[in-house]
Amino acid sequence: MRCAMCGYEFDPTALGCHTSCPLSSGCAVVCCPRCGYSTVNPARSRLGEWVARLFGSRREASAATSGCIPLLQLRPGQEARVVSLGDDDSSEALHLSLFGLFPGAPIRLRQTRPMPVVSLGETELALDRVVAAAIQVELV
Amino acid sequence: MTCHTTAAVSSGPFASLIILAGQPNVGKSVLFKRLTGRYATVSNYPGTTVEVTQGEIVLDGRPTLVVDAPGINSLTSMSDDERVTRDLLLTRSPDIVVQVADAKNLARALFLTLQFAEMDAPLVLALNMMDEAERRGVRIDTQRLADMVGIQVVPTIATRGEGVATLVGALAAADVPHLRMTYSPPVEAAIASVTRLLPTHQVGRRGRAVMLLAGDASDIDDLPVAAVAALDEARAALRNELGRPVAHTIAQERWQAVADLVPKVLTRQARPATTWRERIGRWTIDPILGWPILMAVLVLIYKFVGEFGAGTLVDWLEGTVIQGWLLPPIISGLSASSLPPLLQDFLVGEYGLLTMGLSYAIGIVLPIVTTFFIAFGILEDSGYLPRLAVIVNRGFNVLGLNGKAVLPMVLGLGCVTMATMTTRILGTRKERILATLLLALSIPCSAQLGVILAMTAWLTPVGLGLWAAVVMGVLLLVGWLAARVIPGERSDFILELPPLRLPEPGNIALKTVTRVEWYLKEVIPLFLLATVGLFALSYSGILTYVEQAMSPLVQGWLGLPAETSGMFLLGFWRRDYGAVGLFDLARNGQLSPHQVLVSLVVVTLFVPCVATVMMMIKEHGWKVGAAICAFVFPFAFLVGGLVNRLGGF
Ligand SMILES: Nc1nc2c(ncn2[C@@H]2O[C@H](COP(=O)(O)OP(=O)(O)OP(=O)(O)O)[C@@H](O)[C@H]2O)c(=O)[nH]1
Ligand SMILES: [Mg+2]
Repeated sequence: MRCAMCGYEFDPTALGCHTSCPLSSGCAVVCCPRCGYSTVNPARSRLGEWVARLFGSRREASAATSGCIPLLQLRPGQEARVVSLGDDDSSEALHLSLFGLFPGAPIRLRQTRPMPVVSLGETELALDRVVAAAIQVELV
Repeated sequence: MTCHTTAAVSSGPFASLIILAGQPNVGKSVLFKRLTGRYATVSNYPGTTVEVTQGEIVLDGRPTLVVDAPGINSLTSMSDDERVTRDLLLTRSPDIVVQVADAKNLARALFLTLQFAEMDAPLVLALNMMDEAERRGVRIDTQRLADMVGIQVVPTIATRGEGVATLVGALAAADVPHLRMTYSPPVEAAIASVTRLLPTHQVGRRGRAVMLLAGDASDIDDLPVAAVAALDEARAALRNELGRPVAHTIAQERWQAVADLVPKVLTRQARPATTWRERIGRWTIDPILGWPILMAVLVLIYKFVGEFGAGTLVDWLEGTVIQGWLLPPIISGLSASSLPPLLQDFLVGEYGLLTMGLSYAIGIVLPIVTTFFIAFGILEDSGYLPRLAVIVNRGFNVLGLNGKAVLPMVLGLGCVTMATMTTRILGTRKERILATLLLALSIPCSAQLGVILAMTAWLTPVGLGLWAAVVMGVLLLVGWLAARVIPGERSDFILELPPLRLPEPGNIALKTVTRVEWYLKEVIPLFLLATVGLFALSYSGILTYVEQAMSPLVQGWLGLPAETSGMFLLGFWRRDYGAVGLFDLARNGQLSPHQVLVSLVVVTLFVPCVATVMMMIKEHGWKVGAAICAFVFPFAFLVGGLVNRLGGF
């Protein structure tokens, strides 16, 4: 993030200032390593996340590693490619494929609560949680 | 739904038949209206049309039958209403199929086009919703697409009527598509061998062969026994060779073919920045913001229906027009006449046809349901209803209910009888019965919701809250209990969320008018009949016995005045009659707010109407229907009594 005071660009996760503080794990305050200006790290604020999502200003995905991950572990707004629908030979999988949701399809997770919603091209689908939880994707 | 089979479509004197087909919610019904001038229900959610609607146009001077078919996602794997469309295509061999498609979703459109192409019928592709496609930066080279598939491709904006004339012109030049998708060698070999089993005169043999292989169309092709055996063999052999179900492979290969086609005709401009409409659409299903939006929507509906409709309009129509201008001269004229008192009573007595029947129906119910239909139409066309399903889904999950059950519940707000039919989409018999029970118990249909909402005008906000809490509580409790008995299972519940759209005033007006007409024609006669029944009971003195018999229940247990017994009798027919009778009592100051609450709870929990009872019997047999009624009515009184004892405010 960028310090609001001096404009120094730094990585808040790499700060060592919290190691001796008893509140370190829950603390959301960061101090700029250059000027010492302290501020709240917006990435640690759930409310901040939510507001950011409301206005569509998505921040970069938090280094979700490559390989296969469950769809529901994407961040809202993140794009990926479907790898498997769980049991790809099930009747559910066939049904999903008619909406364009099949292995290989590009998919974007919109939200996970109250119901998982994904978009495939211009199609937006609300999925049953059990169905959505079985879907595996890979980042592109 | 499936009770309307293809037999319902007879071409009669028509020279040819055109079928409008395509995915759900792409604008088929709007286009149908544009083509034929006939109205088919249009709403902004998938699955609006569940049965066929027909109209006619004159094409080349010949009368042509046009059929608006239910939306389909595929020809080879389907729900009941999708089967209606497939059967139409297979058994009626249309002269032209018009595929209506959502231009912004070209891939899905072509997925279906490939299947229509296999049917060998002349095909025209209407690329509808061009306005939305453009707004999202989707450009389609229609000429190239037309050349590739070998058919007429017409861009349209059905809501504005753009491209409709061109479409009519293109019908004359309709062609059988020359595009043939090639499956992988094992599938092609199997198709070839199955095609040989089919009668040579049949059209669309390749398409039928694919359907048969995918294991779907066996119910329509009356193949000779030997051929059936050969088919089963071919299917099993193919499945073995592929190592996975045939239908899955076919769908996958079709998508591959689509993926090859799309880049050749579609270019995508940079997608414009998120619009406010999209943003609001997102907010309506937000886990937090969704709730205040839902509240705001409810408050607006309440203001419009409860205060404007049930207050201002009813006061004017019932109070000023009917009670003030119409009835007094009739009453005085009758009393001056020499008509027998029985007849006078029948017309203008306490339970008179005019004083009660007509003034309830026209003076009270009509303004309320009309305003509610307007509000509900706006909701439907805006695309909010599927989003509502997303928001309330959580509650159903807490109950342990299958997510698919939400849709019948939300549709129940439109008409419980129709929704009872849609419980067919649920997997198991237990689930279907559970959903039917919950529908019967606590989901009021639009007309009833209107009257019930109007009733709440005599409740304080606390009372309104209590009413909502009790009804929700009952829904949750019964649902929760039932869900213990019926374990949830993995479901393939998928709900497509259409974009939010600005409702068209013309369509709202049209919808409201057709619904009000339906109400006047089908519901008001029932209402009058119920009034006559009540009059007969009262005149013969039976009503007094009934009131006496019900008095421990009504006066003792529920703490309500004796007159409400009659209203509950009306409520057996339809909950809204009961509610409107109570509305009248409340308006005359005969019910305290507490009594309004109690009586309202009872009526809300009643079975919606006799039509619902008949539908329950039709769908689940008379035993289940009777059992549900035997549970619901006593249960309604039980809960009402508990509210009376505990819910003082
Ligand atoms: N923007 C835009 N909206 C359209 C167009 N055509 C239809 N709509 C809207 O799309 C929605 C669906 O239209 P319908 O005609 O009910 O769709 P349908 O294909 O009959 O749907 P089902 O009966 O559910 O299969 C309505 O809200 C229409 O107003 C169009 O060309 N442009
Ligand atoms: Mg329709």
